[in-house]
Amino acid sequence: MTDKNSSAMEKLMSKILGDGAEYADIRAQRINEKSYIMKNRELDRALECFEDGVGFRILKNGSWSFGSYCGMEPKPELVSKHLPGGEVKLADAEPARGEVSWKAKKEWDEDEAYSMMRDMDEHMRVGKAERSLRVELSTWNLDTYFLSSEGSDIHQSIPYSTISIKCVARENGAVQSYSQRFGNVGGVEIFDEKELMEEAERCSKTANLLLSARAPPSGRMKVICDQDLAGVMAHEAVGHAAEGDLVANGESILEGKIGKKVANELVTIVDDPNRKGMGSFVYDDEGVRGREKKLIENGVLCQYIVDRAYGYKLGFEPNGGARAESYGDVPLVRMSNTFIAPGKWSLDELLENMGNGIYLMGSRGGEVDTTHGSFQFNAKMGHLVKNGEIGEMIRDVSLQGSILQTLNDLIALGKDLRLHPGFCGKGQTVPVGTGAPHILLKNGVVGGL
Amino acid sequence: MSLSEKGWGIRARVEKKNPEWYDIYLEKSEYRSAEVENSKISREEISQEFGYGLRVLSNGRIGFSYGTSLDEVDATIDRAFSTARHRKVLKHFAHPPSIKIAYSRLDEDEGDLAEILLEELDKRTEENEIHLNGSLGWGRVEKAIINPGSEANESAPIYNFSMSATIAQGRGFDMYSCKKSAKLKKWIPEVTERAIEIARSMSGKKEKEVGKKELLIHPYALAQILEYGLMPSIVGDRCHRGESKLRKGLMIREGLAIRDADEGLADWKVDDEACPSTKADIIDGEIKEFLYDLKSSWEWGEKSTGNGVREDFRDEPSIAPRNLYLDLDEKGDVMEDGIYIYDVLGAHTINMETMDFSLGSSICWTIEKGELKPLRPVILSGNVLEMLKNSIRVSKERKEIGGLGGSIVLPHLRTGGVRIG
Repeated sequence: MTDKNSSAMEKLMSKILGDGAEYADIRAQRINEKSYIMKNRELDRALECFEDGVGFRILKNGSWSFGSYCGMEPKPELVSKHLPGGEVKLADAEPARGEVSWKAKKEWDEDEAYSMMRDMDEHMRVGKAERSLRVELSTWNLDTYFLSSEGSDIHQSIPYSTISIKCVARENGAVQSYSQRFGNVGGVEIFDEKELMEEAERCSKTANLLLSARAPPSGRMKVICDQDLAGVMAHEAVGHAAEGDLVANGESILEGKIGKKVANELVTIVDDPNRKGMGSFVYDDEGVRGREKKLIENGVLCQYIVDRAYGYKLGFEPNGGARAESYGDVPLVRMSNTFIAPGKWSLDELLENMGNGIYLMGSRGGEVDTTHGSFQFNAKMGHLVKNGEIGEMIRDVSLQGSILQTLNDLIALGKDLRLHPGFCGKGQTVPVGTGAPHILLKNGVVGGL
Repeated sequence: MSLSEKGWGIRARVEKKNPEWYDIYLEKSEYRSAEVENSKISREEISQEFGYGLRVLSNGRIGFSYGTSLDEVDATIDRAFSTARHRKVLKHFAHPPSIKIAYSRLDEDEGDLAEILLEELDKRTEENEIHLNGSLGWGRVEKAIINPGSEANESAPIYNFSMSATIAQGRGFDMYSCKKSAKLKKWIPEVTERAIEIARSMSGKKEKEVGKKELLIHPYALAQILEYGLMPSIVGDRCHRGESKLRKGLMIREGLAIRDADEGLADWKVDDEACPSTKADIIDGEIKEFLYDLKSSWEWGEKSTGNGVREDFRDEPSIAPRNLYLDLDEKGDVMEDGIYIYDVLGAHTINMETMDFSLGSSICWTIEKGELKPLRPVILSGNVLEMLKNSIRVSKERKEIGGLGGSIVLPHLRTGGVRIG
């Protein structure tokens, strides 16, 4: 931060504290972004931009006031009047002073990005069907200064890069698509070009195969989920239900279940910003150091994800669970990298153990109703499994269920944990990692057409 | 300095660089909200934004960048030119029609809305078993759009209220958006009461048996299905690329009308690239037309339908409906037996190419002899087109859902075209 901006933040802090606030913090942020979208070998969109802005919070009379604005000039007038009746109190957290500067080892330049996207497009030109191709590359850096009235003074800079590909295949009136996303914290160096080209080819081949895939069966059956789909399940079904704000506000099926068995004893589910993934950070957006949180350990619910306010309310130490999309958003209780810890089985062993059932692969996304404890995920594709052998391909298949029932129906875990890049929406969108090994469910509820 | 004056300053600098065409989109907004957590107001927010998005046409290619500071206009212009380098040549570029417009939608200040919310919550302090969580928001957006032949300046207020209630294992929600604070004032108690009523009705023992029954779909569930399952298929750009199943002349169903109109919450006189907002008859029994913005019109040789929409100044326009209306001429009776779906889970997972869906619903009831009984979560499987082909409207009443960026206006539908499990 320049000296001018630094002095602007100090000025803002002194003004917003002036009226008897119990606590205040400021996030001043610079966002740099480059993004490109290629459709059928031609660059359809390109954006290079940066912006500055400030978000600040004040706690007074048991309620928060949050103000945000573009630019760095202090705007203390954006403090609201604090209605009475709030009950917010903060759990103690050691004020932190730190400098975290994760740098991309190699940054994208436009020519390089364009060339990489053209190569991926070229590798997607396989299969007989007519096709429509899309390659999207995004890279952005969040450079955040955090100051609090308790003395925290943190600078944290994190670069991100993602590449997404999609093939829409058409043949004899049928249309199907397949897509993949790759990404992590970092720059060009996080991608292996050879692997990307192989994945690009596989993406198109799969879209072509889906044209002749059959509709899935419906009903209860044994299900193996791959790492991508099982990771989304860990995030959607368990991670969201373990968010302290939902728990404290009567909106989670996991409320009141700390120390109780909620899953098969094989199951350990962790949220950890220290593991490398799209959800990595050192300090959260209220200056608390991110830490590993075992949400479920050996089937027992151990802790919730909390920020300082919900930590106080639920009786937990703050565990680095406060995240905001940008300076314009208030920090909320959010996940980081959430995953099911691995077991001991190979995929072949899981298939053999299952015998007959269904093997679901990839995630089109999902949604959870944490209050009722029900969830809905859609797989990108799947296969019927007969006598442990992978058979016919299936399309448009969904997996639905009750969170608690499904956690108990999880009867075997693979050893092949993999973390995927994702984005989580909760009014705001933040980058997250979702991961798991292959998992076997004994009684999955499968739906489709 | 007014928003338009800021735009004129940017225009002078852009014109010095001699682009073949340009547009400058400036946006200023202030939005206030009060957040309810566990039946208390836990947070009030005030956010102010100002920024500008800049497009330039250079060698037949569009470049874009945005900025938030007027001190950095030249750098933003340079970035916009730079990003045009590799982009495709727009073969059918033509200057859009000239337009000059200034229009401000006024609203009388009806007092402090947060105080009204506080009063509503105070009334319920004795009801300990109810957890209320929600958001009340109000604000104003002003946009200015300048290109070589046009200048538009519009502003509008917006008021939103949503409330979710949980009682034991029952959850309910309701919401309301409008452009008059007096209207919202009236709706704060009604929306809260409706959310509680639904949560109460869902908190009993859940029916397990589904059976083969007809479905009654609430506008909230229908809006989700159409947003992800129909809207991508009416975007002209996707149709030209073969990514939509729909084609002009394809018969969907006699009496089904889906149109994009200039009346509704998003009733801007021009779209976000200064093209006049017009009425588009997308489906009138058969597919009649698709939606275009300027870029897609220049790419495919079509005419813009005034559907260039930006989420904010940070975005290049993309194609989206403004106020989408669905109507059916056939009206059915109120259902005596069936299943009533209020919400859907996972609408974003609908296959946007095939329009097939397999979704969950956790706020749903069985209807037996006109009486609602809470139902366990269900799976709905089907295809959006098949669902519309097999639907009839239940009442003339329609619900408008959305905001200044776009709205959807829907009736309750009865349908036999969806499998329930």
